Amino acid sequence: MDFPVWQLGAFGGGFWIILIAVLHVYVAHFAVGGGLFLVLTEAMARRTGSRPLLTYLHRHTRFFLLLTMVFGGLSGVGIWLTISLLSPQATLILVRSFTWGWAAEWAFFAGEIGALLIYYYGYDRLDPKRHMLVGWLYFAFAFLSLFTINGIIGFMLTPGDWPATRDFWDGFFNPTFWPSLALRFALGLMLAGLFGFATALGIGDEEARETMLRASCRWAVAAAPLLLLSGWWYVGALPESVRDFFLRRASEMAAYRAAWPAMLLAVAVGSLALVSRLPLALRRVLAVCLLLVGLGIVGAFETMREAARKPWLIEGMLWATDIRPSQAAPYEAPILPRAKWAKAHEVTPDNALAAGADLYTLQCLSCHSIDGPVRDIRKFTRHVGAAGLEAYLTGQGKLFTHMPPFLGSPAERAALAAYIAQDINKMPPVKDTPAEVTPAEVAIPAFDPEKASHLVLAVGELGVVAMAGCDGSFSLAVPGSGLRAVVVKRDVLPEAAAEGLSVRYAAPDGAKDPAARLDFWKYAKTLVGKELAPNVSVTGLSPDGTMAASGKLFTAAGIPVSPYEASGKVNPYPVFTVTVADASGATVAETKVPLAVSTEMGCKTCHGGDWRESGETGVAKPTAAAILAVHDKRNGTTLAAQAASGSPVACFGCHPDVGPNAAGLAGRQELLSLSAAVHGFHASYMAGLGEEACNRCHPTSPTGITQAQRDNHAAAGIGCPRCHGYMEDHAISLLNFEKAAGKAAASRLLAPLAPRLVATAAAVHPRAAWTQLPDCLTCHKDFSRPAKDASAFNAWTKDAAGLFRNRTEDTGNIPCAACHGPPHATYVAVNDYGLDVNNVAPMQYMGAPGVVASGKRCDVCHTIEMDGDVHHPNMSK
Amino acid sequence: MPPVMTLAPGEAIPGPWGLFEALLVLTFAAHILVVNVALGGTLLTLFAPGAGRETAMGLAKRLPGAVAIGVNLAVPPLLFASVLYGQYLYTAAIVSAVPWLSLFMVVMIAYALLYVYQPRAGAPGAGLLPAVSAGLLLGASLILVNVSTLAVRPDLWTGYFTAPAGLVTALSDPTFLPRWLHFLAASLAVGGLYVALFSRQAADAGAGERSRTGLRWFIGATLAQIPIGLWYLLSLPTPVMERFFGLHTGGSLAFVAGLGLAAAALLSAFRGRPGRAALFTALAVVCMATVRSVARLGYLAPQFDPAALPTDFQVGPFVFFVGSTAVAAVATVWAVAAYRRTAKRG
Repeated sequence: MDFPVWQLGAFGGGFWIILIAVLHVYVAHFAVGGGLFLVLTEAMARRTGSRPLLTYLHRHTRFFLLLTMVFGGLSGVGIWLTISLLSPQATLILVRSFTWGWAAEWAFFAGEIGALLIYYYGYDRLDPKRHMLVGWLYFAFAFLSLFTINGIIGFMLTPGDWPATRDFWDGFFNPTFWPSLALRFALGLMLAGLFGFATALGIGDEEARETMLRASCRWAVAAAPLLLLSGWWYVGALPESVRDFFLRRASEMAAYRAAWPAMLLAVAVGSLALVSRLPLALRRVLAVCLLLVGLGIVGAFETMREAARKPWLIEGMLWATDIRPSQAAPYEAPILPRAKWAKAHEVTPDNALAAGADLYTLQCLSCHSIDGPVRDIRKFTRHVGAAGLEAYLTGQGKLFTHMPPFLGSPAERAALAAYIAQDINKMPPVKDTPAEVTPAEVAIPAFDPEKASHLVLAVGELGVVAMAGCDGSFSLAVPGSGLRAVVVKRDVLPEAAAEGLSVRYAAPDGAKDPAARLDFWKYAKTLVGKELAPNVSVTGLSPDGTMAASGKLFTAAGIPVSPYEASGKVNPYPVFTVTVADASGATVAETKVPLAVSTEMGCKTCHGGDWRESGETGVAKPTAAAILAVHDKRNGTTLAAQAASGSPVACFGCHPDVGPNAAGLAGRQELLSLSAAVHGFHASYMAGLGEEACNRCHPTSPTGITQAQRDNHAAAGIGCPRCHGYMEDHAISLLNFEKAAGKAAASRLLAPLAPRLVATAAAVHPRAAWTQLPDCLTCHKDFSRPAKDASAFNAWTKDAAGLFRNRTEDTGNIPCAACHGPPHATYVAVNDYGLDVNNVAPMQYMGAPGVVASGKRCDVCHTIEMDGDVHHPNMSK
Repeated sequence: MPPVMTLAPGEAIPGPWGLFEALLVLTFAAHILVVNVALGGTLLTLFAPGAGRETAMGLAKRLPGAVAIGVNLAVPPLLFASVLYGQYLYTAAIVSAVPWLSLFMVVMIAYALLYVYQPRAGAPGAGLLPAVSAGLLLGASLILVNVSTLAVRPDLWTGYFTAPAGLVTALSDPTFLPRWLHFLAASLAVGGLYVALFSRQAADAGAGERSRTGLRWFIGATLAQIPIGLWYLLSLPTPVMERFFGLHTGGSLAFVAGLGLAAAALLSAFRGRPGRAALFTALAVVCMATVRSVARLGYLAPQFDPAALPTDFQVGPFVFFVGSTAVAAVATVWAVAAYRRTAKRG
């Protein structure tokens, strides 16, 4: 924030420091191990009196001098120059905190130069004893140089007690000092052997050559297990959180973790092959390969070390963006006014993209190049629009801490997201175009209150059955809708009738073949564990069938439904016909009922891709694949591969789900419930939003194809959060329940969440998904009209029996929903599909929308005028 | 709680600022002298190789080592300047990042070419290698003058807003050219002096003439510093320049002493005494490094004063540095002495 950022574009993301540092470390470590190699080889040559070996060593020393002093020395300075350009704040911290360490390292470096020059130029002039002593001096200074640098570099990863004491030695002899020193020294020994091969192959004298090759082999082979052991020691010395990130949560590291021992093995095997009697030319090729493997080992080590440090440059003190947490606080406050080198200091409607560019420079460029070789931002974001990127930024640094949190206001976050989407990825801004909805035409069945002996009230169990519609990839919910009906025998005192009656349901013409466009039946065996005939649901029901009598109710649990008609037309409201017949088969009552169903889940907003069907609904295959890839990456699963091989899984197969669309599978009880997992994970990314967060995944958007939130609450402007809480509150309620059940993952998901409707997460009452939901009577006290600002949040039903959809009025005969309509579609229900389809029962029985029998229309069931509050208090008001 | 604990990491410096300033002056003087030898010597292999290329060969033998030591001696002044002026130095480096980052590569190639040149210096037509090396080293000097100037001219940093890719220069600063010419002339002078010094020790017949040639270069280049130095002085902003005319006692004394020592060095050279000339030159360079330091403080005042930096001095690490330096110095002196004894023998 205090320094300008060198705008590198394609060469951003730390390209230069990676390139220079890896090459420098390669040569610098060789300079240490190679120093010991020089003196020990000289000792051997002098002991054996081998002239060819001494001649070789002189030549090798010249090579050593040129490589370590010309390249090593200058690239060391190059690192200084590079870090001061890319991370000036970090450089300043290191320089000022360890000035005397750097200065001492310089002195050792000076000693190295002096000793090496004398060692080389005095090779044939100094007497052997003195010459050897100079060689030892060189090695001692080289080692001390490593010793010193090692302390300062280790501080960046494991500062130990330094932040508390600010004591030089606490930072220097930090927790990884000794394992790092051992590892780096072993690396130097191995490189000495590998470079020894390269130069020894040039010896003309065969005996001397083979002697030196064998000697080099001993160095390289002996160093391999040392490296393995010191690596293990190093990882063990890391603080628990860093070790956990490195070993388990940093999926990007898996390849490097595997490559490290593999490359060490390759070095050992290759070295042994080099001392065999292979042709010389082949051995030369092998020697070059081994040098490259050595470079790979250095590169992998440095990459892992850097990755383990994420999101910090200096653990706990300075982020990879070269910004200090204390400098950035409060994180949600606008940052552009505080960024000295930004061109824009506030986001306005006219400068959003320019301000976004400034924010990118400030917070992204240090790690993400633009179209370059290092962590190209396009690779990570090209499939996502601005809204999805905003979600990424919102959640950044919360659950996965390899990146620092986004710093700035919501407006700045939006500007950055827009910049990445529009300027970098060239995606046009997305307009929220309302879905084109054709109003449904429903032939309301006739009802003659003068003559009708019966009436039937039928209602869908849920306001909408919400599925992802990507069963070839995964299944979030099986296609099945619950239907309940109550038959009322009209009279002065009507009664719920069941005896001698049968109730049938029938799908409309376009909804009789849901398997035509839903893949669920193709993958039923792998999804829910049993083969199913097309259009037969998990519960054995077909689109047409008979409802089961259950006391005074008739039910059909799991009628196969689809929002796609066989023709391909999207219709989330297939209107079923319910017919009541008496024992003779004569129809005594008939009604219609929409069984709302949707695949409108906007996963694509954040996971990329497009809608699957008609540009309006359904999770498309690429989107589903991206979701599975994230799940695999973060949880170590192989879901993407399973789906690709034709064996997709159901989410509820592992994550317990007691909802009606989970096929009755138990799931793995140690895992979070599906609802808690999904809401808990996504809440970090959707923090700060209102009901639009709900609409991203549920088919409730007022401009979507489904518009499932269509009840009288919506019409009154009462959004989802008034009952369920905001996304964060909602997630916390579910996670608190899981936490109380002892599920470890709940705490991790809870950690970044802050409730919005109550003061603390602990104040959010835990609730079980599906069985504990907001209670209508929290606001509608004694069934009265609630206060304008009433909220049902945080007062959950005790159990499933208290749910609106499961309750009945006071006589116990009529389900609440039979008269009021299903959840989220209570009468008067309205959306672009029209009044009729959403209010069939009131339209049929009262000729007008409204709660059935409201407006003193007791005559719907009663054949005389009635008074009083028999069904529930205050009903006549 | 110690006061330093309330500071963000990196805000406090680990010692009194004057200590760092003194170390900066001393190590910069040492660095610049060796760099003058490296650049001046490389140029002299082209301009004054000697009749039988003896001067070129003598230089070729020594130049890679001079570059190595020059680079090594660049580290401490860079370190101490970073401690005191990091905010300015790093910002200047970032706004001119492209040349700044290329610095080490430029020097690396120049250094490598000098090694290639080393065994070929006696061959006629070998001049191309040192020519390229000299060109690269001159490029390096321009880069350093650029960043050093930018570091004291925050008003030029605004160029970043139109050229954020690291290509801002200080070419518009009136001191840029005289400052660079001052360095170039000093390099030729010290290069010549170095030729005089090592030629003096040779036993062959032409050694005396080579030594005199070296001194002639020293004298000529140092005399050239009179107009160049005057130009440089007059190009300084008035408040900075006035520091050397009484406004700043230390600066004025160092300036006058530097001029006097330079005159003494010239006189010694006229008298054919390269050893004494070298001693006066080294002292003059220390004085001029002090002048440079005072000028920098003048440029940055009153916005920045290193004396205002909070201090967190710990004795142990300082002793570690002093001890390391002493050990390295003793070992190096012993090794060099052992080598020189063999040279005398052989």
